[in-house]
Amino acid sequence: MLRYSLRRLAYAVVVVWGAFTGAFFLLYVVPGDAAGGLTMGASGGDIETLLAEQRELLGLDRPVLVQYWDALSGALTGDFGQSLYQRRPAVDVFFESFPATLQLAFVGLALAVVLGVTLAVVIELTGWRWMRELLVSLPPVAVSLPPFMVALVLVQVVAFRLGWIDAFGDDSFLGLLVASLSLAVAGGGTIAQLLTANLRGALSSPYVETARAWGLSRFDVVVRHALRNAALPVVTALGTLVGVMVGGTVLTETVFARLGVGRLIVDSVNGRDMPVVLIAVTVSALIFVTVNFLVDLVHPVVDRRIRLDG
Amino acid sequence: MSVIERASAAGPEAPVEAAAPEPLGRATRARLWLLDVVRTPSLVVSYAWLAVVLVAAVAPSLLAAGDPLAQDGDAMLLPPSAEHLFGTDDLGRDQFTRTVHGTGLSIQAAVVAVLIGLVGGSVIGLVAGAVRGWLDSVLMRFIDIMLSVPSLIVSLAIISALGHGTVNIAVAIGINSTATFARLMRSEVLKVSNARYVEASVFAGHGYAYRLARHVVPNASRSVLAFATMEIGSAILTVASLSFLGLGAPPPTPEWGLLVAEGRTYIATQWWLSLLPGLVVVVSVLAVYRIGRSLNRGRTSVVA
Repeated sequence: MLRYSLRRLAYAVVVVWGAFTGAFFLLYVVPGDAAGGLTMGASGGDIETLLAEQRELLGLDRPVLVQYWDALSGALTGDFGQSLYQRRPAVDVFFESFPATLQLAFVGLALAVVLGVTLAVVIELTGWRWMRELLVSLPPVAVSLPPFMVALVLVQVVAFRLGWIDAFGDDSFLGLLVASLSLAVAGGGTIAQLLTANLRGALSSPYVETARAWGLSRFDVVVRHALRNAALPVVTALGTLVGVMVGGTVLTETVFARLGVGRLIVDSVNGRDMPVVLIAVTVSALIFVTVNFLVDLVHPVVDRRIRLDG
Repeated sequence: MSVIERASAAGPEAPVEAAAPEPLGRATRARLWLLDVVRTPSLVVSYAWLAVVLVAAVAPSLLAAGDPLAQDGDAMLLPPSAEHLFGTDDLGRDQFTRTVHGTGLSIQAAVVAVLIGLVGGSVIGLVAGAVRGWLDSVLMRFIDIMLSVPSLIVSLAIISALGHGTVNIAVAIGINSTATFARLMRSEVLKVSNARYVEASVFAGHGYAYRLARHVVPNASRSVLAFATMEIGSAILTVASLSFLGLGAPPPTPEWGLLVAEGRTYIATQWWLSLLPGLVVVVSVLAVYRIGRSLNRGRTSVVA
């Protein structure tokens, strides 16, 4: 267990370092000149002054490897440089909006799990053929819906027709719930698809036959026996889904006009505010490795046959 | 004597043919495929929709004769009618015409993205799966790192380096999907390399390069190509998402995601302006996924 954890930790460090390095070279070296974000609208001599100022801010006048070394050692101490727009540490800018986005992503994930699992179980339990056919066709539709479309329909219906939430930046719990629903639809569809396939496999295995022979109800067979064994691939998929949720907040926050990292990233990409984009990529990778580590720790709890060895 | 000669000449070849993965002729397979399509109404509808989308992409004037940029001061923000199927926007432009004319750019971007991912990913996956060893480890760690950051955020980072524009969106999505294609190609190459017919080819005395080109690549690429059809659906979604965020073509150009974004201002009152072009995106993605699923049947399971 300890050896396993150490190995995973080393792997996590490599992945996050790789994401940071890749993003650094992509953002600071590929464009040739990362300066230029603030020059829009400026003219004549202003441009040169602004460009020079930005190059100095970003330290672009130094050799690439020196820049990289500084960026890396800075990042290790939590210093990602100054945000070009807000003229204060990019870390502060980023982590100010971070809690709101984390909340949105995790409520979205929880909703996706609830929706997906419920749908898959109902599909197995329903006795009516036509109902089953109808429900089975839902997950493929759900994964085809662009998150921004779901969000727009929700804004139109819940905010404008029903008037239950404010269309712009509603901070109430209901507002959060509706916004995260737009994230949850595609994720719920993915979970439902995975789970129906696994449930079908589990329900045809001998232990389910035994449970039926014992005279357990259909509900008990599906929920208490088959679901547990069908759940493992879903737990694995959660690791990927967290990333989908974090990425999806970019669209959700834009449509619902919520403050958060997602909108911050879009604004930073538009204004080429590289330090903020760099920290966004690095933190995303950090979230990914953390969640996947947690998922691995949960595996033996769901399936006792699994043991974590070096 | 001659009989023995013939038998020994055919000997090394025989197991290869016997273990070949396609027992059916090309014509038979085509007929079976057609039968399959006709028997499934949802597949018929999907192919029909795809055909309409392709016509709109290649020759938009056939479906909507008007000029997508023509403004009409007397026909602003009209609701959908026989004359204006999707209504008109705030400048009196016909939204249906704009959606039809936007198809080309959207589909083109999605196809280019998938082609970049397909070619790049297949090469990386083939090298990793065929060479193995340290090169395989290095390449796969590299892929792990790419997949550790949410794809939308990777795309955004690439766009902030390359700048805005539909082509850059396509490149960003393509680079991003390279990782998934590489993983799939590698696992297929490993799977195929262990197959009986490859083993037979070793005993037949075929060289490594011949075996790779004749057996491994063709058989591994079938699953990868089937997966690529699914990826076109995802790419249409991501292209629309990124241009919805304003990172694609600049405003007067009609493009699906951009139309949805522009109509968003009027979502409270003229909801059809953004929701109808959005519906076109949804139906197109559904159709591509449906076709993709029918092609992926019996292959490496793909969850999209």
